[in-house]
Amino acid sequence: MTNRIRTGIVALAMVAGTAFAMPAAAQMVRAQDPQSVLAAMKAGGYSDATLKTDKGGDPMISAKTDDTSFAVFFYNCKENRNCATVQFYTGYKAKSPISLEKINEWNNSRRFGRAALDDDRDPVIRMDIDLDDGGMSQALFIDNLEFWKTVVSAFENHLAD
Amino acid sequence: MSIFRTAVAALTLVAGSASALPAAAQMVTAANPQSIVDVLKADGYPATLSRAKSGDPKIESEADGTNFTIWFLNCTANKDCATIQFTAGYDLKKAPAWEKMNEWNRTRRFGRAYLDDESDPILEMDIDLDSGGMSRALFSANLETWSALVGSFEEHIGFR
Repeated sequence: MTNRIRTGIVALAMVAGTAFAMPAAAQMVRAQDPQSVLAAMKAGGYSDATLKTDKGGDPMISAKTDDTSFAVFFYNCKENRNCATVQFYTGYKAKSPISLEKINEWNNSRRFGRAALDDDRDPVIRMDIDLDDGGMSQALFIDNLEFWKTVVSAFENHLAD
Repeated sequence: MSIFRTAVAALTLVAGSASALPAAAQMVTAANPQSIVDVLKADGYPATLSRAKSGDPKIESEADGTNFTIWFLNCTANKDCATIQFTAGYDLKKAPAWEKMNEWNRTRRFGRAYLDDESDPILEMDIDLDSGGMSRALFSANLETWSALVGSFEEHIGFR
């Protein structure tokens, strides 16, 4: 019985696939479903992306862009599940003090990433994405991943300037 | 030709029985500014579509008495834009401290704050609406986030 239903769904998907893309629901990236975020990251080229749990018990994904490690934190969760949004995050140890003007200059001229000096006066960069309400397509999520990659490398150049 | 169209319609019906209707019909994309105007209005925001000096589309709107602009970016020849940016700016008698802006950026989410070249505080939020865009429901959720951010930013900088 299960087999027959599965065959039926596959057949429908194949028929639909000839007219347009697969039904969107099948491949939506949702914070509620950390596996869908992990799968999209792998599809977006982050083959080393790993799903873990943060100190608070919420899901988190760690990955690496070029030589920079970053985390994807899950937020707006209920009892460590049913999260609604994610945040891309990476931080650096400042070798010499970085001025707030320098951080402001970034925020004034760049897009998508939000820069700050943390409590230790170390520079951090973050990017938030809402993945609630059914989430977004894998294509749009991967497009956001590309923005993140650009943001990280531009931020590193900005700090080195 | 009409045979082909009929076939597509039939396929759509078949697919519709297995899942939701094709999302394309209701997606919010930066390439289609009207799709954004429609959501704003449906959610109770005023929305006036016009053009920036560059010729790219922009939308003027308002949240709780504060005017904000939605800029269309990554456009090609003033069309086919890929992303948007929500912006609200404030003219204060006394410029907020750098530290105040950093505190916002360190502790808040989604919105990016800075002092512009005239030391006026600005709040921005970027959304990627390329690659087929996002559902109306998700765009509405982002709109709600923006509206809430504007209120908390005004408290943060002492505008309210």
